Amino acid sequence: MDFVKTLKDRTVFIVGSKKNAGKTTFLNYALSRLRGESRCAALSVGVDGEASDQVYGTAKPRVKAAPGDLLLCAETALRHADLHFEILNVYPYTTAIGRPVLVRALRPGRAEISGPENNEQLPEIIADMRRHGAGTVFIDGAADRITQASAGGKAAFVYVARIEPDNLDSACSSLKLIWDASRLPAAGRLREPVIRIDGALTPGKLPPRGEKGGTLVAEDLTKVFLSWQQWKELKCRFDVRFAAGPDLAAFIVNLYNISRADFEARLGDKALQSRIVYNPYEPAARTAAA
Amino acid sequence: MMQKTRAFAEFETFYGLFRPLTPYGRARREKRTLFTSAAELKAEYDLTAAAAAFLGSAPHKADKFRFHLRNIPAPDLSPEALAAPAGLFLARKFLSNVRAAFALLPAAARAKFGAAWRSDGLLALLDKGGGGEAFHIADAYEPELADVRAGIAGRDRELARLREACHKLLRERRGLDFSDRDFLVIDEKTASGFSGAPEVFAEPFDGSRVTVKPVYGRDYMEAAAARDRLRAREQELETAVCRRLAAAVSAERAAMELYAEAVERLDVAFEKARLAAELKLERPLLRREPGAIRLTKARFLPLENRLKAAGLKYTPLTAVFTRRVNVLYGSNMGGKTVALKTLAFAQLLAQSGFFVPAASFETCVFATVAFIGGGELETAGGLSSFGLEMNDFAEAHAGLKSGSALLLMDEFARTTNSEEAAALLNAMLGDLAARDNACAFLATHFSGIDVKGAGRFKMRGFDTAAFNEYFSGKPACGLEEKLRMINRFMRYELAEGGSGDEARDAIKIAGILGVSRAIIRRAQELMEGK
Repeated sequence: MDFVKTLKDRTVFIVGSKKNAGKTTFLNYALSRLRGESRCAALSVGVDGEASDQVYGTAKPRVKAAPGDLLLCAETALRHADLHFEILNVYPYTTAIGRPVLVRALRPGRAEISGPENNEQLPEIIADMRRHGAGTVFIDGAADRITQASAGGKAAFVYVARIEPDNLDSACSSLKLIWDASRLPAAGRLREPVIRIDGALTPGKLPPRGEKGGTLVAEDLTKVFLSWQQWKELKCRFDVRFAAGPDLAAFIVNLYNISRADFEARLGDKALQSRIVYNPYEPAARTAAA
Repeated sequence: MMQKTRAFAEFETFYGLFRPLTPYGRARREKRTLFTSAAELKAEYDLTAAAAAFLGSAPHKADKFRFHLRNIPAPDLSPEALAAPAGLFLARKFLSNVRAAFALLPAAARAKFGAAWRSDGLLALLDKGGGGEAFHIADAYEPELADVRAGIAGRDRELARLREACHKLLRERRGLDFSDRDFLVIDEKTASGFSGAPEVFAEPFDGSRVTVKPVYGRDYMEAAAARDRLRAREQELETAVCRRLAAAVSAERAAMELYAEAVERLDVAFEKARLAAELKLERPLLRREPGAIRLTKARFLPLENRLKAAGLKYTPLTAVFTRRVNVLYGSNMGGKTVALKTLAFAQLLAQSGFFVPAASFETCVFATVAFIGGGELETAGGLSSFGLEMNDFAEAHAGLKSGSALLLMDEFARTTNSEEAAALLNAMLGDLAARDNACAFLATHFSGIDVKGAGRFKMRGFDTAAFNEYFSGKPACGLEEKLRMINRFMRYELAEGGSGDEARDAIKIAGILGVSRAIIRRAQELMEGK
């Protein structure tokens, strides 16, 4: 099954292992694959989204829009966009780069997408996009927003990883942790005592070493900021569950200066390997991606 | 001072239910205005009554009306904001929803709220930019725009054709498929086969692979450049249209500001009317001059809701206060503080322009409503609770120089010795009784308060006979049941007359709450001996 087609009519978070992992490049690819089958919408939020680009001044890849696409753009970005559009809504939220504006593209073009300033506004904007006919909603970035937006169901996420020799071990650990966490059972009946962790699950928030038994409930798997080793130890002590469970759609792996064979040898875990889609811009990887 | 009074009256539990739908109504909400003019309050009540009449007579229209209110934005009418499509979008959204909302109102209501619509021309102009909610700088605004956009569409088709031709060539000649992709990543060895090929541009991706992109050729570059020129012209024309539309909106700024004022009045009045219907609130009757305060079946909503949730009975307050200074006596847990809170709640609602939860509420308008008490909850500035109370009293008393005041004193001075407290209270209430612009209510345990001209009231208190009849032979019970029993047999009614000496149920209440029988008996003996 072509995994991109499985994203149709869902709210899809594209989260990345690091900046410049290739999230927006993947977004452009997914948009081009789904158009014609689903009315697409896109916005970009999160700590690794617009704010970072404003801070570091790096060029943010623009989204390629086709007629009918819905995009959330900042007022200031629209002034410089190569886009003929109609405005569907202007939200009364202030961001550093102006109010978010929901537009519908009237002809092909490119624009820099943007987002709201906080989590509470995200569900409202997604609902507004759907009211205006959006089927598939892509959210570029936003690892910290999944819980809020997935409350309505149908949420999925794509994890984009940029893997280089320098980060091979840590990147493999992250992939293993997310893969393992994504396969945990849903939070149904919980074994007592139940410990609930709000926000990020960091080493500092872990129960003391001597404590074990019962269930530890975190918000969702993207809130886990533990090493692979810490995660394994935690699972030995508690049943770990997540309050919200967006589906893991796929891992997109972009390899730099490392061969696929070397990467897979380091990763191990054949089941995890089967969920990896290698750089969709690489013809050798097309069988998996297309 | 007002913050403390609102806290005592638990005003925010009610105010949280007041949720205007427009930015204008919400801004008004944040002001938390306490009206001190009877005329202004009458105008507020009249608007709420008009809104209530509309809500009651045309519920279907009222739903549509609320829909349009909810969609009214607060456009920035500055020239800079209006010079951009987003600013014009908001102006149009504002106008189209204002017009639709006004149109749903009966003529009499439009006149009352100042909802006079006269911007058909401007809205028609902005409507050229879209149907429904959408807005854009349409061709209709500028004939040249249509030509330029047709030119861009032609160039886009040409570019797409050239791209497709190039992709076909690359697919067939080089085996490179750029479908859905702007670039491809291939290994260096494969890329070396394209070395020098004019239709492919290659650059390093990593140590062993390269990124390749199609080179579309001179025709493509020329078409793209032509498109860029057309796009630049389109932007010039769009900017000029935005300026013209912004000028048209600015010319009607005064009318739009009047609409915004009318929207604020409508939004606030309709929200107050909604609350009046849902919470069964009635219009207060205001007296211009200080006079009697009459409450008939007044409900202190926060307590009523709490008791309802606990399955307990709630007794509304009925009382007539014909004097300006009043002392309320009552036993522990007898409801005198609740009586004071009920009055404070009703007064704050009335002076905030709301209808009140009572069969009727007759009152006067005060420049200040001040609560004095509750000092044990604070430690501000190192003052003791007594110190805080005295400070609050002094502040409220000083306010009497500039206007009328309603002073609500709960267990005032209870933390000092009873003799001095009684002396202080007599002096304070005596002073207030002598001022025409003061109205004071004191809930107290203290006996020995004797102020000439003051009204005296007593909570009816514990119904011992009914309790004994019910309780005889029943086993001991838990705290919840004990509270239930106190609630069941306490008569939360205010009767005229009485004194501190008559309001003594403390020993009975202590007994119900589980203090040993021997202690209760000894306490009763001591009281009888006294």
